[in-house]
Amino acid sequence: MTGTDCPDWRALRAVRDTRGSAESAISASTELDWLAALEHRGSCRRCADAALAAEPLLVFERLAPPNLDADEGERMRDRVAVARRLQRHQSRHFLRPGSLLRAGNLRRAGDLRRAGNLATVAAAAAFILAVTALGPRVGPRVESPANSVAVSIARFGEAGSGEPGEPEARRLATVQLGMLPLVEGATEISMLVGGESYDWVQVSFGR
Amino acid sequence: MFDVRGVAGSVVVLACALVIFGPVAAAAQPQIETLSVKAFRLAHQPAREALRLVEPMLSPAGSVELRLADNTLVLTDQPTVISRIEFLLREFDHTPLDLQLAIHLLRVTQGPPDSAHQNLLALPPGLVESLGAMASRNRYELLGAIELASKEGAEVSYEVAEKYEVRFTVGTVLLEQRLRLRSFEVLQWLGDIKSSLLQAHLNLWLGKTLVVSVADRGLAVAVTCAIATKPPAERPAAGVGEP
Repeated sequence: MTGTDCPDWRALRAVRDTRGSAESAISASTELDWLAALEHRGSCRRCADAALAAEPLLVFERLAPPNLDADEGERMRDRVAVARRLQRHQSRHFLRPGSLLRAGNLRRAGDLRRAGNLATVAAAAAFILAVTALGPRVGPRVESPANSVAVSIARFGEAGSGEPGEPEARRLATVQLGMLPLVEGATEISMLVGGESYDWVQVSFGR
Repeated sequence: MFDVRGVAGSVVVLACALVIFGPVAAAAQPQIETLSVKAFRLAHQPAREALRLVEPMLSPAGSVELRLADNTLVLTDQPTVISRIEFLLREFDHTPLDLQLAIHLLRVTQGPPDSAHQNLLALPPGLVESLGAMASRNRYELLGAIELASKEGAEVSYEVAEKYEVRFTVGTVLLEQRLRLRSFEVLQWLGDIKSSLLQAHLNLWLGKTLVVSVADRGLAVAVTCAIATKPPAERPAAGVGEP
């Protein structure tokens, strides 16, 4: 403390900046001094400017904590749900069918060996072949993507428009846009308040 | 001798095979898509900017190559995925839009707020309300404000207030919803020396004000920057599909 009752803000700030390198007992004492100084500042007009000059970050201490309204919370939950569905959709859609079929074949073959009936195995194999060849529900033989890359170089201008999947594409793209952060490059975004007409973020850059 | 149990067993196994393999094969049918390669040359917008939008849309088997020389993205993926991305790129590659931007720069100090808010009358309404509600002990002094007409891709450098400069590059409007301001900087001049108070990429929502507060210990200054954009008046012509 300096003078009569007012704290020496610059000294407090300097000590706080070096905390962590000293012993923990000193750090704890420093924090107590700092808290006492902040309490003092609440009732001392002279200290308001001195404190702010020493620690500009104090200017934001009274900003409200994150406070999302119910609608915004609901929208965020929707975005997360859509993103999860998208993830599941992609996982399902891009499974390798070849590996599924191979695994299925091996598993069933093991079961059939345990049955010990060669005629049954032969009949089943013949039936499966027939189903594979003729059945309308079964597509052509599955090939691994590596063996079946169809190269179709196209340029803008050749692309069609009005594809039936456009609404889905727009929905996915919209979800993706909603996930873009408001600020990129800050080391810390310490406060975020969303409102109807504004978003408010407080950022720091690690200085 | 005719083995009834053997025949019955065969029938059971055949039925099981039909039940098991039928659906598996049917489920595999829509996934038989092969990989395709398609190159998209963008006519109006930088392909580099599109890259970060395209990458998350790719399947695990897909890939994208950026060719800066001819502003082209080369996609390798399943046709359904490529068609989705093509839609996104068609939206992205529009002719550069004219945009209206409003930037307010405020210095934040501690003390009783200006009850009349005389110097804040020019601020966006939502921001004024939030200042009153959120910062009962802070005083917000308007340093300066600019309203400027700009364009996608433009580099902006503006002295928004005495000793304060704002710089950024206007990015691309995405799906008429978001706008990226690249390398957005607030600079403070101290004599001949300039110092960057804020340096980041900002992803704005069109029609919504983004308020960024930053305090710099070294310079003992705290500023708040409010950036508002107006949505483009009319939808742009898409570049994709143009000859």
